[in-house]
Amino acid sequence: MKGSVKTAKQHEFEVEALPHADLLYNYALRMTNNAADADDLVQETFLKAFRFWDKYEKGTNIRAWLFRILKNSYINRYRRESKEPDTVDYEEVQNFYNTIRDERSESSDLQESAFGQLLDDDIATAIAKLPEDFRTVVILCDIEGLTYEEIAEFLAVPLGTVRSRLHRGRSLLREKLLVYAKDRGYTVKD
Amino acid sequence: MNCREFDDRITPAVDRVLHGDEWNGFGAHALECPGCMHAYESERSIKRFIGDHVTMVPLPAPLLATLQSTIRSEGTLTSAVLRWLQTLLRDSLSLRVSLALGALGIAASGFILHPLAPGTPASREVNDVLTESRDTYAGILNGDVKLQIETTESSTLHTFFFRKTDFPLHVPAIRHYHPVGALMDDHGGVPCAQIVYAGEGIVVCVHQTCWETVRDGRLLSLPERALDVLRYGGTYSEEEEGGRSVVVWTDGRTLSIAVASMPSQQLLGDLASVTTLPVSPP
Repeated sequence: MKGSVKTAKQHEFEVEALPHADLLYNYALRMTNNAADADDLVQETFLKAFRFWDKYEKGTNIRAWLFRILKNSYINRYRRESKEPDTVDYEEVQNFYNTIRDERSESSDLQESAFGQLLDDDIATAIAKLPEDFRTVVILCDIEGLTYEEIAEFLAVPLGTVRSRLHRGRSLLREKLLVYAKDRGYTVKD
Repeated sequence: MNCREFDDRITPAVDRVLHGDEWNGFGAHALECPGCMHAYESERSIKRFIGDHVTMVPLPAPLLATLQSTIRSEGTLTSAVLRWLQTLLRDSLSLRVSLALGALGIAASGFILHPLAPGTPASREVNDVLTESRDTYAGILNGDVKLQIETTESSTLHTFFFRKTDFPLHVPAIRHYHPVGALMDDHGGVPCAQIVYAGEGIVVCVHQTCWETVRDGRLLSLPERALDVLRYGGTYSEEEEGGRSVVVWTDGRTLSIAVASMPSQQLLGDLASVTTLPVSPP
């Protein structure tokens, strides 16, 4: 009898949780920038999720639940290893953003032309170098295609915070990509 | 709509979640304010660029297979430990059973999720690895130290320890005993693995860590009398009052310490049949 309950649990878990492994893997990959670390993180997440499957409230957002487990695992693994917490100078970001408004140097077409100089590695590096708060929302929204509501639930932050982090994250990413484009020989017109 | 209000709406506009009057006001302002239009176009183009150039990576097939295998083996762990316990209770009524019952407390209490389980000696200042091993063994018997995984399968131990240590980890086969679980902790920042065995009513704990770290006295140490034996490739053993023994040996970069409540000669005899299976290459 107990055996059949276990089998049902395994079956239920495989049907409901495993299909989201892609999403978690991609997030883990972008956060760690390392395939082996992403593997480990996803394995640890699903192991924990399976062990705590009884705690998951059926009918609630399973992606959010899995994501929170992964996020906690990520923090346990990587924050512990870094001596300094990943901090963000929000004022600096805001100041940078304000300069965009005044720039007359590049239209969006020219900007895309500049980005055309970039290699895939440049893009991956630029994303990896974003501060963690911003990187998370950019990955989830612009790469994984999640809604603001889902991201807010994942991160347990208000919707407005998701919007502002996304806004600033994209601005920072643009800045980094333009720097890489210039390094690759793209010349900004005065 | 002024520039500040426009600024607040750029991101939802780019993500197409701005509707109705807000969208109309946004569009009207953009037409009359080149700076704001530029800011909008800039964010829109970066989103488009990311979408065009960064694609979702398919889940690697080996990872999916590992996840499925882990789930299946996890489902059978508790029942395997219970079966072992039932056999133990049926076959033995000696004092050894009461020692093993300490392990039962572990088995019945479920899993500990954190790599550094609260209650493990990980955060203490003591760096004598022999003392640490004895303390961990005592903690396992009295239930203060919890297993992080329960398994009788080497393959599951393989998964559990994979990439957790910077030294080759071995799962020794010990005569009359089989693994029932494991845990990882660290002593002074050095990863330490514990594999717990049971059989014949006795619990044996094999503690493993980096031999080079201990040999050089960095972060972890051993009593000089033990180091003298190990440096020349020997096996060191000692027996405490009350019948608890430790046997220490090295294998390449790995230092192993077996602890059990039995005379040292008996423990040495059981370990004589040890064959090691490397599960975690450095």
